[in-house]
Amino acid sequence: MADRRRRVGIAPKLFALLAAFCMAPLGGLVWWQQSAIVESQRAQRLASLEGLASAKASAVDQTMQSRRRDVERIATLMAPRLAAVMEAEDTLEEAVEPPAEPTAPLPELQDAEQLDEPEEIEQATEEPREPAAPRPTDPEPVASEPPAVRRRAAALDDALADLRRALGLVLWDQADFEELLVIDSSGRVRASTHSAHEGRTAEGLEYFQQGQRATYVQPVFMSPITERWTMVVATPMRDENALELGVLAARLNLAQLFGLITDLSGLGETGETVVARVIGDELVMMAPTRTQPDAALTRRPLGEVEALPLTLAARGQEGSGERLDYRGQPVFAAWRPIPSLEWGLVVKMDDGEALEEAEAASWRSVQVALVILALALLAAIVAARQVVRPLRQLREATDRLSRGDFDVRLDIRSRDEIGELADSFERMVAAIKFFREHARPESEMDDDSLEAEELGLGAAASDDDDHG
Amino acid sequence: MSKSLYDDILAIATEYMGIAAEDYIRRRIRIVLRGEAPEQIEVDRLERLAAGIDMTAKGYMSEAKADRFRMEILALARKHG
Repeated sequence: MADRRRRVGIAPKLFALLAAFCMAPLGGLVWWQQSAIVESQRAQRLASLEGLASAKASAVDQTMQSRRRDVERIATLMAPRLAAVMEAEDTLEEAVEPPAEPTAPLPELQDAEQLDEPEEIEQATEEPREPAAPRPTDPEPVASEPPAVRRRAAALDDALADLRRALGLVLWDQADFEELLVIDSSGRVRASTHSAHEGRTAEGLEYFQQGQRATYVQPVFMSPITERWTMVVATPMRDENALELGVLAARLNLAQLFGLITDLSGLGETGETVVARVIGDELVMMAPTRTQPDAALTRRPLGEVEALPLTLAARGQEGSGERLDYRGQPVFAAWRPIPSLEWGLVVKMDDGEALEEAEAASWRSVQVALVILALALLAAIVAARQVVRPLRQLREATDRLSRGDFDVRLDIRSRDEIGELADSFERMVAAIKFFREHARPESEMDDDSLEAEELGLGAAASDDDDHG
Repeated sequence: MSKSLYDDILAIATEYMGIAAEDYIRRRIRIVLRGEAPEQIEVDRLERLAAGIDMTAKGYMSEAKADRFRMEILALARKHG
Protein backbone atom coordinates (compact mmCIF):
# COMPACT_ATOMS: atom_id res chain seq x y z
CA MET A 1 0.00 0.00 0.00
CA ALA A 2 2.70 2.36 1.06
CA ASP A 3 4.61 1.68 -2.14
CA ARG A 4 1.56 2.34 -4.26
CA ARG A 5 0.91 5.67 -2.56
CA ARG A 6 4.45 6.82 -2.79
CA ARG A 7 5.17 9.01 -5.75
CA VAL A 8 8.64 10.40 -4.97
CA GLY A 9 10.96 8.90 -2.39
CA ILE A 10 12.69 10.82 0.36
CA ALA A 11 16.11 10.26 -1.20
CA PRO A 12 15.37 12.07 -4.47
CA LYS A 13 13.54 14.78 -2.55
CA LEU A 14 16.43 15.27 -0.20
CA PHE A 15 18.88 15.12 -3.08
CA ALA A 16 16.89 17.68 -5.05
CA LEU A 17 16.60 19.91 -2.01
CA LEU A 18 20.30 19.79 -1.20
CA ALA A 19 21.27 20.20 -4.84
CA ALA A 20 18.93 23.16 -5.21
CA PHE A 21 20.28 24.76 -2.06
CA CYS A 22 23.76 24.28 -3.41
CA MET A 23 23.13 25.21 -7.03
CA ALA A 24 21.09 28.33 -6.43
CA PRO A 25 23.68 30.18 -4.36
CA LEU A 26 26.54 28.78 -6.37
CA GLY A 27 24.95 29.84 -9.64
CA GLY A 28 24.23 33.26 -8.20
CA LEU A 29 27.75 33.54 -6.91
CA VAL A 30 29.27 32.58 -10.24
CA TRP A 31 26.99 34.98 -12.12
CA TRP A 32 27.82 37.79 -9.72
CA GLN A 33 31.51 37.03 -9.86
CA GLN A 34 31.53 36.88 -13.65
CA SER A 35 29.71 40.18 -13.88
CA ALA A 36 32.14 41.72 -11.42
CA ILE A 37 35.15 40.33 -13.27
CA VAL A 38 33.93 41.53 -16.67
CA GLU A 39 32.97 44.94 -15.31
CA SER A 40 36.28 45.27 -13.53
CA GLN A 41 38.21 44.21 -16.63
CA ARG A 42 36.18 46.61 -18.78
CA ALA A 43 36.89 49.52 -16.44
CA GLN A 44 40.52 48.53 -16.10
CA ARG A 45 40.98 48.21 -19.86
CA LEU A 46 39.33 51.54 -20.57
CA ALA A 47 41.40 53.22 -17.87
CA SER A 48 44.54 51.72 -19.35
CA LEU A 49 43.61 52.87 -22.87
CA GLU A 50 42.72 56.32 -21.55
CA GLY A 51 46.10 56.55 -19.87
CA LEU A 52 47.86 55.54 -23.07
CA ALA A 53 45.78 57.90 -25.21
CA SER A 54 46.40 60.84 -22.89
CA ALA A 55 50.11 60.09 -22.70
CA LYS A 56 50.48 59.70 -26.45
CA ALA A 57 48.37 62.73 -27.35
CA SER A 58 50.29 64.80 -24.85
CA ALA A 59 53.65 63.51 -26.10
CA VAL A 60 52.76 64.16 -29.74
CA ASP A 61 51.41 67.60 -28.88
CA GLN A 62 54.51 68.50 -26.89
CA THR A 63 56.78 67.15 -29.60
CA MET A 64 55.07 69.27 -32.21
CA GLN A 65 55.10 72.35 -30.02
CA SER A 66 58.76 71.74 -29.39
CA ARG A 67 59.44 71.43 -33.13
CA ARG A 68 57.54 74.68 -33.75
CA ARG A 69 59.62 76.46 -31.13
CA ASP A 70 62.78 74.98 -32.61
CA VAL A 71 61.87 76.23 -36.07
CA GLU A 72 61.03 79.68 -34.73
CA ARG A 73 64.35 79.79 -32.89
CA ILE A 74 66.25 78.67 -35.98
CA ALA A 75 64.43 81.32 -38.02
CA THR A 76 65.62 83.94 -35.56
CA LEU A 77 69.16 82.64 -35.88
CA MET A 78 69.06 82.53 -39.67
CA ALA A 79 67.38 85.89 -40.26
CA PRO A 80 70.59 88.01 -40.01
CA ARG A 81 72.36 85.62 -42.36
CA LEU A 82 69.55 85.80 -44.88
CA ALA A 83 69.63 89.59 -44.55
CA ALA A 84 73.37 89.51 -45.25
CA VAL A 85 72.81 87.35 -48.34
CA MET A 86 70.13 89.67 -49.63
CA GLU A 87 72.24 92.71 -48.97
CA ALA A 88 75.21 91.15 -50.78
CA GLU A 89 72.96 90.19 -53.62
CA ASP A 90 71.55 93.71 -53.89
CA THR A 91 75.09 95.06 -54.03
CA LEU A 92 76.02 92.57 -56.72
CA GLU A 93 72.90 93.27 -58.73
CA GLU A 94 73.87 96.87 -58.97
CA ALA A 95 76.99 95.75 -60.86
CA VAL A 96 75.77 92.85 -62.98
CA GLU A 97 72.74 91.70 -64.87
CA PRO A 98 69.83 90.53 -62.71
CA PRO A 99 69.92 86.81 -62.07
CA ALA A 100 67.75 84.47 -64.01
CA GLU A 101 64.29 83.86 -62.57
CA PRO A 102 64.00 80.50 -60.90
CA THR A 103 62.70 78.01 -63.34
CA ALA A 104 62.10 74.81 -61.42
CA PRO A 105 59.63 74.50 -58.56
CA LEU A 106 60.34 72.61 -55.35
CA PRO A 107 59.29 68.95 -55.49
CA GLU A 108 56.42 69.67 -53.11
CA LEU A 109 54.68 71.57 -55.88
CA GLN A 110 54.17 68.20 -57.44
CA ASP A 111 53.30 66.55 -54.20
CA ALA A 112 52.56 68.37 -50.97
CA GLU A 113 50.02 70.82 -52.23
CA GLN A 114 48.42 68.36 -54.55
CA LEU A 115 48.61 65.29 -52.38
CA ASP A 116 44.92 65.27 -52.04
CA GLU A 117 44.69 61.95 -53.79
CA PRO A 118 46.81 59.00 -52.65
CA GLU A 119 47.82 58.13 -56.20
CA GLU A 120 49.42 61.51 -56.47
CA ILE A 121 51.68 60.60 -53.62
CA GLU A 122 53.08 57.78 -55.64
CA GLN A 123 53.47 59.98 -58.67
CA ALA A 124 55.29 62.50 -56.61
CA THR A 125 57.60 59.99 -55.05
CA GLU A 126 58.28 58.25 -58.30
CA GLU A 127 58.89 61.38 -60.24
CA PRO A 128 62.57 61.70 -61.10
CA ARG A 129 64.16 64.64 -59.48
CA GLU A 130 64.94 67.47 -61.74
CA PRO A 131 68.46 68.68 -61.82
CA ALA A 132 69.05 71.74 -59.70
CA ALA A 133 68.30 75.00 -61.41
CA PRO A 134 71.29 77.15 -61.93
CA ARG A 135 71.93 79.02 -58.74
CA PRO A 136 71.18 82.67 -59.36
CA THR A 137 74.08 83.56 -57.19
CA ASP A 138 76.53 81.21 -58.77
CA PRO A 139 79.51 83.23 -59.87
CA GLU A 140 79.44 84.34 -63.43
CA PRO A 141 82.41 83.60 -65.57
CA VAL A 142 85.00 85.82 -64.10
CA ALA A 143 87.32 86.36 -67.02
CA SER A 144 85.55 89.48 -68.25
CA GLU A 145 84.29 90.77 -64.84
CA PRO A 146 85.78 93.82 -63.34
CA PRO A 147 87.40 93.40 -59.92
CA ALA A 148 84.55 95.20 -58.09
CA VAL A 149 82.02 92.68 -59.41
CA ARG A 150 84.24 89.78 -58.43
CA ARG A 151 84.58 91.19 -54.91
CA ARG A 152 80.82 91.59 -54.62
CA ALA A 153 80.23 88.11 -56.00
CA ALA A 154 82.75 86.75 -53.51
CA ALA A 155 80.98 88.60 -50.69
CA LEU A 156 77.68 87.07 -51.77
CA ASP A 157 79.27 83.63 -51.91
CA ASP A 158 80.61 84.14 -48.41
CA ALA A 159 77.20 85.21 -47.12
CA LEU A 160 75.55 82.22 -48.76
CA ALA A 161 78.23 79.89 -47.49
CA ASP A 162 77.68 81.23 -43.98
CA LEU A 163 73.95 80.68 -44.29
CA ARG A 164 74.42 77.15 -45.64
CA ARG A 165 76.98 76.34 -42.96
CA ALA A 166 74.65 77.56 -40.25
CA LEU A 167 71.78 75.53 -41.67
CA GLY A 168 74.02 72.49 -41.93
CA LEU A 169 75.13 72.83 -38.33
CA VAL A 170 71.57 73.08 -37.12
CA LEU A 171 70.55 70.08 -39.18
CA TRP A 172 73.52 68.12 -37.87
CA ASP A 173 72.59 69.11 -34.33
CA GLN A 174 68.87 68.48 -34.69
CA ALA A 175 68.03 64.97 -35.76
CA ASP A 176 64.38 65.95 -35.79
CA PHE A 177 64.69 67.68 -39.18
CA GLU A 178 65.51 66.15 -42.52
CA GLU A 179 65.84 69.42 -44.41
CA LEU A 180 65.97 73.12 -43.63
CA LEU A 181 65.15 75.67 -46.29
CA VAL A 182 65.54 79.40 -46.28
CA ILE A 183 63.11 80.91 -48.73
CA ASP A 184 63.17 84.59 -49.55
CA SER A 185 60.07 86.71 -49.72
CA SER A 186 59.73 86.10 -53.47
CA GLY A 187 59.45 82.37 -52.85
CA ARG A 188 62.91 81.46 -54.08
CA VAL A 189 64.88 78.93 -52.05
CA ARG A 190 68.04 80.78 -51.12
CA ALA A 191 69.66 78.07 -49.10
CA SER A 192 68.86 74.52 -48.24
CA THR A 193 70.54 71.62 -46.54
CA HIS A 194 69.52 69.74 -49.66
CA SER A 195 71.56 71.69 -52.23
CA ALA A 196 69.51 70.48 -55.21
CA HIS A 197 66.60 72.55 -53.92
CA GLU A 198 68.46 75.87 -53.92
CA GLY A 199 67.25 78.25 -56.55
CA ARG A 200 63.92 76.57 -56.91
CA THR A 201 60.68 78.32 -56.20
CA ALA A 202 58.32 77.64 -53.32
CA GLU A 203 55.97 80.43 -54.29
CA GLY A 204 53.00 78.19 -54.91
CA LEU A 205 53.42 76.13 -51.79
CA GLU A 206 50.93 76.47 -49.01
CA TYR A 207 53.55 76.31 -46.29
CA PHE A 208 55.38 79.20 -47.90
CA GLN A 209 52.23 81.27 -48.24
CA GLN A 210 51.01 80.46 -44.74
CA GLY A 211 54.49 80.64 -43.27
CA GLN A 212 54.86 84.25 -44.34
CA ARG A 213 52.12 85.21 -41.90
CA ALA A 214 52.77 82.95 -38.91
CA THR A 215 54.20 79.62 -37.96
CA TYR A 216 52.39 76.99 -39.95
CA VAL A 217 52.41 73.22 -39.86
CA GLN A 218 51.82 71.51 -43.18
CA PRO A 219 49.99 68.19 -42.82
CA VAL A 220 51.75 64.93 -43.46
CA PHE A 221 52.90 64.18 -46.98
CA MET A 222 55.36 61.87 -48.65
CA SER A 223 58.78 63.45 -48.84
CA PRO A 224 60.11 63.45 -52.39
CA ILE A 225 63.61 63.57 -50.93
CA THR A 226 63.51 60.72 -48.47
CA GLU A 227 60.43 58.97 -49.73
CA ARG A 228 59.21 58.90 -46.16
CA TRP A 229 56.26 60.61 -44.56
CA THR A 230 57.10 64.12 -43.53
CA MET A 231 55.62 67.40 -42.39
CA VAL A 232 56.82 70.94 -42.93
CA VAL A 233 56.89 73.60 -40.28
CA ALA A 234 57.27 77.06 -41.80
CA THR A 235 57.75 80.31 -39.94
CA PRO A 236 58.41 83.91 -40.97
CA MET A 237 61.94 85.29 -40.95
CA ARG A 238 62.14 88.94 -40.04
CA ASP A 239 65.00 91.36 -39.58
CA GLU A 240 65.59 93.44 -36.47
CA ASN A 241 63.00 95.95 -37.73
CA ALA A 242 60.41 93.18 -38.09
CA LEU A 243 60.52 93.51 -41.85
CA GLU A 244 59.74 90.31 -43.66
CA LEU A 245 62.78 88.63 -45.16
CA GLY A 246 61.36 85.28 -46.06
CA VAL A 247 60.34 81.98 -44.61
CA LEU A 248 62.25 79.28 -42.84
CA ALA A 249 60.79 75.89 -43.67
CA ALA A 250 61.79 72.69 -41.94
CA ARG A 251 60.90 69.25 -43.14
CA LEU A 252 60.43 67.15 -40.05
CA ASN A 253 61.82 63.73 -39.54
CA LEU A 254 58.68 61.96 -38.35
CA ALA A 255 60.46 58.85 -37.12
CA GLN A 256 60.15 59.94 -33.49
CA LEU A 257 56.58 61.14 -33.90
CA PHE A 258 55.45 58.04 -35.73
CA GLY A 259 57.43 55.98 -33.26
CA LEU A 260 55.27 57.44 -30.51
CA ILE A 261 52.11 56.80 -32.46
CA THR A 262 52.89 53.33 -33.69
CA ASP A 263 54.36 52.11 -30.42
CA LEU A 264 52.36 49.04 -29.46
CA SER A 265 53.40 48.77 -25.83
CA GLY A 266 50.44 47.73 -23.73
CA LEU A 267 48.26 47.17 -26.78
CA GLY A 268 48.43 43.40 -26.98
CA GLU A 269 47.87 41.60 -30.25
CA THR A 270 45.10 43.75 -31.71
CA GLY A 271 45.64 47.18 -30.21
CA GLU A 272 46.83 50.16 -32.21
CA THR A 273 46.99 53.92 -32.24
CA VAL A 274 45.34 55.83 -35.02
CA VAL A 275 45.59 59.53 -35.86
CA ALA A 276 43.48 61.48 -38.28
CA ARG A 277 42.46 64.98 -39.16
CA VAL A 278 39.29 66.45 -40.53
CA ILE A 279 40.05 68.24 -43.79
CA GLY A 280 37.02 69.70 -45.47
CA ASP A 281 34.34 67.08 -45.41
CA GLU A 282 36.73 64.18 -45.13
CA LEU A 283 38.53 62.34 -42.38
CA VAL A 284 42.15 61.88 -43.38
CA MET A 285 44.35 59.32 -41.68
CA MET A 286 47.64 60.89 -40.74
CA ALA A 287 49.85 57.90 -40.04
CA PRO A 288 50.12 54.23 -40.86
CA THR A 289 48.23 51.86 -38.61
CA ARG A 290 49.12 48.43 -37.35
CA THR A 291 46.67 46.70 -39.62
CA GLN A 292 47.02 49.06 -42.58
CA PRO A 293 50.62 50.18 -43.14
CA ASP A 294 49.48 52.25 -46.12
CA ALA A 295 46.72 53.99 -44.21
CA ALA A 296 48.40 57.41 -44.14
CA LEU A 297 46.49 60.01 -46.13
CA THR A 298 43.63 57.64 -46.88
CA ARG A 299 40.38 59.56 -46.82
CA ARG A 300 36.83 58.76 -45.87
CA PRO A 301 33.79 61.00 -46.21
CA LEU A 302 32.77 62.42 -42.85
CA GLY A 303 29.22 61.29 -43.42
CA GLU A 304 30.35 57.67 -43.14
CA VAL A 305 32.50 58.12 -40.07
CA GLU A 306 30.67 60.79 -38.09
CA ALA A 307 30.28 58.59 -35.01
CA LEU A 308 33.77 57.10 -35.01
CA PRO A 309 35.99 57.88 -32.04
CA LEU A 310 38.58 59.10 -34.55
CA THR A 311 36.19 61.72 -35.90
CA LEU A 312 35.18 62.79 -32.41
CA ALA A 313 38.82 63.17 -31.43
CA ALA A 314 39.66 65.07 -34.63
CA ARG A 315 36.83 67.42 -33.75
CA GLY A 316 38.46 68.14 -30.41
CA GLN A 317 36.50 65.78 -28.17
CA GLU A 318 37.90 63.28 -25.74
CA GLY A 319 36.36 60.18 -24.22
CA SER A 320 36.42 56.41 -24.01
CA GLY A 321 34.10 53.49 -24.44
CA GLU A 322 33.14 50.51 -26.51
CA ARG A 323 32.68 51.66 -30.10
CA LEU A 324 33.11 50.59 -33.68
CA ASP A 325 36.46 51.55 -35.16
CA TYR A 326 37.35 52.69 -38.68
CA ARG A 327 37.23 49.05 -39.85
CA GLY A 328 33.76 48.57 -38.40
CA GLN A 329 35.11 46.29 -35.67
CA PRO A 330 33.84 46.57 -32.07
CA VAL A 331 36.70 47.88 -29.97
CA PHE A 332 37.54 49.35 -26.60
CA ALA A 333 38.80 52.83 -27.41
CA ALA A 334 40.01 56.01 -25.80
CA TRP A 335 40.25 59.15 -27.89
CA ARG A 336 42.00 62.47 -27.37
CA PRO A 337 42.59 65.55 -29.54
CA ILE A 338 46.07 66.82 -30.41
CA PRO A 339 45.46 70.58 -30.49
CA SER A 340 48.79 71.65 -32.01
CA LEU A 341 48.16 69.50 -35.09
CA GLU A 342 44.36 69.59 -35.09
CA TRP A 343 44.57 65.82 -35.11
CA GLY A 344 42.53 63.27 -33.27
CA LEU A 345 44.24 60.30 -31.66
CA VAL A 346 42.57 57.00 -30.80
CA VAL A 347 44.11 54.18 -28.82
CA LYS A 348 42.05 51.05 -29.20
CA MET A 349 41.95 47.30 -28.79
CA ASP A 350 39.59 44.70 -30.20
CA ASP A 351 36.95 43.87 -27.62
CA GLY A 352 37.71 40.14 -27.80
CA GLU A 353 41.23 40.71 -26.60
CA ALA A 354 40.24 43.50 -24.23
CA LEU A 355 38.02 41.08 -22.32
CA GLU A 356 40.22 38.05 -22.83
CA GLU A 357 41.49 38.03 -19.26
CA ALA A 358 37.99 38.50 -17.90
CA GLU A 359 36.74 35.60 -19.97
CA ALA A 360 39.62 33.43 -18.80
CA ALA A 361 38.93 34.39 -15.18
CA SER A 362 35.21 33.72 -15.69
CA TRP A 363 35.96 30.32 -17.14
CA ARG A 364 38.21 29.52 -14.17
CA SER A 365 35.43 30.50 -11.77
CA VAL A 366 32.98 28.33 -13.72
CA GLN A 367 35.40 25.42 -13.47
CA VAL A 368 35.76 25.93 -9.72
CA ALA A 369 31.99 26.19 -9.42
CA LEU A 370 31.53 22.96 -11.37
CA VAL A 371 33.97 21.18 -9.06
CA ILE A 372 32.15 22.57 -6.01
CA LEU A 373 28.84 21.56 -7.54
CA ALA A 374 30.08 18.03 -8.21
CA LEU A 375 31.29 17.75 -4.61
CA ALA A 376 28.02 19.19 -3.36
CA LEU A 377 26.00 16.71 -5.43
CA LEU A 378 28.15 13.89 -4.09
CA ALA A 379 27.58 15.17 -0.56
CA ALA A 380 23.86 15.41 -1.29
CA ILE A 381 23.80 11.79 -2.45
CA VAL A 382 25.69 10.63 0.65
CA ALA A 383 23.49 12.72 2.96
CA ALA A 384 20.32 11.47 1.31
CA ARG A 385 21.47 7.88 1.66
CA GLN A 386 22.44 8.38 5.30
CA VAL A 387 18.97 9.63 6.06
CA VAL A 388 17.10 7.12 3.96
CA ARG A 389 18.94 3.92 4.85
CA PRO A 390 17.95 3.85 8.56
CA LEU A 391 14.45 4.98 7.65
CA ARG A 392 14.23 2.09 5.24
CA GLN A 393 15.40 -0.30 7.99
CA LEU A 394 12.80 1.06 10.35
CA ARG A 395 10.12 0.76 7.73
CA GLU A 396 11.07 -2.87 7.04
CA ALA A 397 11.22 -3.68 10.78
CA THR A 398 7.82 -2.10 11.36
CA ASP A 399 6.48 -4.05 8.43
CA ARG A 400 7.79 -7.34 9.89
CA LEU A 401 6.43 -6.46 13.30
CA SER A 402 3.01 -5.72 11.84
CA ARG A 403 3.07 -9.18 10.25
CA GLY A 404 3.80 -10.86 13.59
CA ASP A 405 7.54 -11.24 13.33
CA PHE A 406 8.78 -9.96 16.68
CA ASP A 407 12.32 -11.06 16.21
CA VAL A 408 13.39 -7.84 14.56
CA ARG A 409 16.79 -6.26 15.03
CA LEU A 410 17.90 -2.84 13.86
CA ASP A 411 21.44 -1.95 12.92
CA ILE A 412 21.17 1.78 13.46
CA ARG A 413 23.94 3.36 15.48
CA SER A 414 23.49 7.02 14.70
CA ARG A 415 23.17 9.34 17.65
CA ASP A 416 20.76 11.73 16.02
CA GLU A 417 16.96 11.82 15.89
CA ILE A 418 16.92 8.73 13.70
CA GLY A 419 19.02 6.89 16.28
CA GLU A 420 16.56 7.96 18.98
CA LEU A 421 13.68 6.80 16.81
CA ALA A 422 15.38 3.42 16.42
CA ASP A 423 15.86 3.21 20.21
CA SER A 424 12.20 3.95 20.80
CA PHE A 425 11.23 1.34 18.24
CA GLU A 426 13.42 -1.29 19.92
CA ARG A 427 11.99 -0.37 23.30
CA MET A 428 8.51 -0.79 21.90
CA VAL A 429 9.40 -4.17 20.40
CA ALA A 430 10.93 -5.31 23.70
CA ALA A 431 7.77 -4.30 25.58
CA ILE A 432 5.49 -6.05 23.08
CA LYS A 433 7.55 -9.21 23.22
CA PHE A 434 7.58 -9.15 27.00
CA PHE A 435 3.82 -8.68 27.30
CA ARG A 436 3.18 -11.38 24.73
CA GLU A 437 5.24 -13.82 26.77
CA HIS A 438 3.89 -12.79 30.15
CA ALA A 439 0.15 -12.63 29.80
CA ARG A 440 -0.43 -12.43 33.58
CA PRO A 441 0.80 -9.35 35.37
CA GLU A 442 3.49 -9.83 37.97
CA SER A 443 1.16 -8.59 40.76
CA GLU A 444 -1.25 -11.45 40.17
CA MET A 445 1.35 -14.20 40.46
CA ASP A 446 2.70 -15.88 43.58
CA ASP A 447 6.40 -16.37 44.01
CA ASP A 448 6.49 -20.02 43.00
CA SER A 449 4.59 -19.63 39.77
CA LEU A 450 6.58 -16.51 39.00
CA GLU A 451 9.88 -18.32 39.48
CA ALA A 452 8.66 -21.29 37.50
CA GLU A 453 7.64 -19.04 34.63
CA GLU A 454 10.85 -17.09 34.78
CA LEU A 455 12.98 -20.19 34.93
CA GLY A 456 11.15 -21.52 31.90
CA LEU A 457 11.73 -18.30 30.09
CA GLY A 458 15.31 -18.20 31.25
CA ALA A 459 15.82 -21.69 29.92
CA ALA A 460 14.28 -20.63 26.63
CA ALA A 461 16.51 -17.54 26.53
CA SER A 462 19.51 -19.69 27.36
CA ASP A 463 18.61 -22.03 24.54
CA ASP A 464 18.33 -19.06 22.23
CA ASP A 465 21.72 -17.87 23.35
CA ASP A 466 23.23 -21.26 22.82
CA HIS A 467 21.91 -21.35 19.30
CA GLY A 468 22.88 -18.12 18.35
CA MET B 1 16.04 13.83 47.84
CA SER B 2 17.98 11.05 46.18
CA LYS B 3 16.11 8.23 44.51
CA SER B 4 16.00 4.76 46.02
CA LEU B 5 17.90 1.90 44.43
CA TYR B 6 14.63 0.47 43.17
CA ASP B 7 13.72 3.75 41.45
CA ASP B 8 17.09 3.89 39.75
CA ILE B 9 16.75 0.28 38.58
CA LEU B 10 13.28 1.05 37.24
CA ALA B 11 14.54 4.15 35.42
CA ILE B 12 17.26 2.15 33.72
CA ALA B 13 14.85 -0.64 32.82
CA THR B 14 12.42 1.86 31.31
CA GLU B 15 15.15 2.91 28.87
CA TYR B 16 15.33 -0.65 27.59
CA MET B 17 11.88 -2.12 28.09
CA GLY B 18 9.58 0.88 27.84
CA ILE B 19 6.11 0.31 29.23
CA ALA B 20 7.01 -3.28 30.20
CA ALA B 21 9.91 -2.14 32.37
CA GLU B 22 8.11 -2.14 35.74
CA ASP B 23 6.53 -5.57 35.29
CA TYR B 24 9.79 -6.99 34.00
CA ILE B 25 11.98 -5.58 36.74
CA ARG B 26 9.60 -6.44 39.54
CA ARG B 27 9.56 -10.04 38.34
CA ARG B 28 13.36 -10.13 38.27
CA ILE B 29 13.72 -8.58 41.71
CA ARG B 30 11.07 -10.83 43.31
CA ILE B 31 12.98 -13.85 42.10
CA VAL B 32 16.21 -12.41 43.44
CA LEU B 33 14.68 -11.44 46.80
CA ARG B 34 12.61 -14.60 47.07
CA GLY B 35 9.31 -13.08 48.12
CA GLU B 36 10.31 -9.73 49.53
CA ALA B 37 8.84 -6.56 48.08
CA PRO B 38 10.92 -5.43 45.08
CA GLU B 39 11.27 -1.94 46.61
CA GLN B 40 13.38 -3.55 49.38
CA ILE B 41 16.21 -4.55 47.10
CA GLU B 42 19.69 -3.78 48.41
CA VAL B 43 23.00 -3.25 46.69
CA ASP B 44 24.29 -6.70 47.56
CA ARG B 45 21.57 -8.20 45.39
CA LEU B 46 22.47 -6.23 42.30
CA GLU B 47 24.87 -8.81 40.99
CA ARG B 48 22.23 -11.50 40.98
CA LEU B 49 19.73 -9.13 39.46
CA ALA B 50 22.24 -8.32 36.69
CA ALA B 51 22.76 -12.02 36.08
CA GLY B 52 19.00 -12.48 35.71
CA ILE B 53 18.82 -9.57 33.33
CA ASP B 54 21.70 -10.97 31.33
CA MET B 55 19.87 -14.25 31.08
CA THR B 56 16.44 -12.90 30.10
CA ALA B 57 16.86 -9.51 28.38
CA LYS B 58 18.45 -11.04 25.31
CA GLY B 59 15.04 -12.41 24.47
CA TYR B 60 13.67 -8.95 24.03
CA MET B 61 16.53 -6.99 22.58
CA SER B 62 19.88 -7.31 20.93
CA GLU B 63 22.77 -8.81 22.86
CA ALA B 64 24.63 -5.56 22.82
CA LYS B 65 21.70 -3.75 24.35
CA ALA B 66 21.13 -6.46 26.91
CA ASP B 67 24.77 -6.24 27.87
CA ARG B 68 24.59 -2.47 28.26
CA PHE B 69 21.42 -2.97 30.37
CA ARG B 70 23.26 -5.34 32.68
CA MET B 71 26.28 -3.07 32.98
CA GLU B 72 24.14 -0.09 33.93
CA ILE B 73 22.44 -2.12 36.65
CA LEU B 74 25.81 -3.19 38.03
CA ALA B 75 27.02 0.40 37.94
CA LEU B 76 24.34 1.30 40.50
CA ALA B 77 26.44 -0.50 43.10
CA ARG B 78 28.94 2.35 42.98
CA LYS B 79 26.22 4.95 43.41
CA HIS B 80 24.38 3.21 46.24
CA GLY B 81 27.34 1.32 47.74
